[in-house]
Amino acid sequence: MKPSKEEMEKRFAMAYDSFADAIFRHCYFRLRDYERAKDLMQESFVKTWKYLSGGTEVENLRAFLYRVANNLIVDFVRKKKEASLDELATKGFDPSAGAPGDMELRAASREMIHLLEKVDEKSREVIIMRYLDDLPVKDIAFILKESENAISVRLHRGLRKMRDIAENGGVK
Amino acid sequence: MKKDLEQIFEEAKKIKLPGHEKARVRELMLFYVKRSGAETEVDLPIQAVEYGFWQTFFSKGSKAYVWSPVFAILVLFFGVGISVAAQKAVPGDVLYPVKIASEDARSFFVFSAEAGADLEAELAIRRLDEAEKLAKKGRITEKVIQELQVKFLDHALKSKNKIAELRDKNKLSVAADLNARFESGLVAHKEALAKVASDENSLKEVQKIISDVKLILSNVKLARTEMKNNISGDRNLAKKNAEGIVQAAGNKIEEVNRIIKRSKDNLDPRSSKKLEKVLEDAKWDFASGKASLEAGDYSKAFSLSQTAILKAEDPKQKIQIQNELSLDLSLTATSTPENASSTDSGLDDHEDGADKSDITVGGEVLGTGTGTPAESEKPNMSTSSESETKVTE
Repeated sequence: MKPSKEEMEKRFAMAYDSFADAIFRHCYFRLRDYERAKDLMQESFVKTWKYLSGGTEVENLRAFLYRVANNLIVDFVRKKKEASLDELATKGFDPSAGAPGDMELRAASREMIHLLEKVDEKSREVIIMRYLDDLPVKDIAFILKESENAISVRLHRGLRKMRDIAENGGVK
Repeated sequence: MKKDLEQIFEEAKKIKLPGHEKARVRELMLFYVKRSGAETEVDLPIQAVEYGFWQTFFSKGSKAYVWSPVFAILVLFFGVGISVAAQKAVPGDVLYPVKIASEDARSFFVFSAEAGADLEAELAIRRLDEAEKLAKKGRITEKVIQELQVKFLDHALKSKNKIAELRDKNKLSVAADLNARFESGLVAHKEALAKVASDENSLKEVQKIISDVKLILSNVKLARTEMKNNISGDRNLAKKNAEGIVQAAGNKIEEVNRIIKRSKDNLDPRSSKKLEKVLEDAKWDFASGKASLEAGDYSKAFSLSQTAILKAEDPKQKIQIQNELSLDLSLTATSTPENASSTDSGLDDHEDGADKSDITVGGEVLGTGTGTPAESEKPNMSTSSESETKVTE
């Protein structure tokens, strides 16, 4: 039996409470922009609600939210020219400056961003999903519409590169 | 060394939204969820565009179907006077429904995204104006503020969406002009709300709508930055947009110049001087923008003209607030568009005591409820034992 609108609203509110932080964090590390990450997080939930209220059946809501967020991020990045951190730093913009929180956390986000910047976007997206979002490879494959094998290869290569950089003191 | 990378990931996992920001976005979202699909006055302006003039007026369920004949009859019998009186009405006044009906009627004659964005921004500011008047009279209640919040958010989001529509159609100069004017209005009214409450209870209630203003303001400021960044690209288009906004900035400065001259007799001399100074700053930005346009630096011309509009609109907003509430904002230095910068998040949380460092670190359980990965699912970072799926290279 199809749930009532009220029931759907309650479940959706619960989904927000459970996943908002994770989706925000995902957007933040993908875009390196605190305000934009907040905007896209909100849009991800609004869009997901549109699908749900339009009758789309969703088995795995968490993975679905990530897929919507990923599509929004891809669209956003396609429209904007991606500036490297170095270029932004030269112009006096510090992406982790927008992040809230204490000094330790800002340092943590800066370290993470610097490492992520060293790998290509394709590796970055899977690394963030696997090691920051703790998504299983099966879900990542669903989100990105790729095979589990392809995801594993990308993870393996990307992580190896990041580890090399971290071990050789490349983290600023 | 391997542990360093793991440590970096573990620390990064603690990044999340501050509790109060997460809560605000939640409220906004649930507002959207509750209103979506409902046949209410909220949907009517969109129906006016999609379904045409006659269907909108005569389709059952349309609020216009109910109210516009009533309004039309009232105006016919009692003339323009009733309409003018109604414009000053606030929630709880007899004429307030007439005011809302006239706003709905206006919406039906709006077909372009530009006119729609302008109208919705005006209506959003009107709701803030109503909250200010009620707060000043000590008549603001929890129920009234909730209703005003819902209406304010509805109009503000519609304006924001229409501005985004203009942006997507590369009508950047029009979008930027509307956006800057809306931003200036929000800044001025955010300040007015904080200052106008006549008692503690009113202050407590207006804080709720101030939070909503801050949320919308952060979106609007972000849009301003994005538009500024979007101007590069096709050179002819960039030139066209830069010319458009330089023109708009010039028009705005002339308009506000006239307003200040007309209002001089009613203003404190110090206030008048301050407002003129703000306009002078705007003129400076406009002149620099014009020079950049002539030099072919369209990006700079666009950015300077945006700032000129933002600054020029400020005296106009403050004079209006002075006239409506007898509240002089010109002598206070906080939150003027002069302080606007491209990296300003717009969320002055320090004003109300909340600050961005109050997020919990590690103490709060991450990912409560469904979705928390089981221990067995947590990723193993050892590349020599990536056993979840066979790796083929």
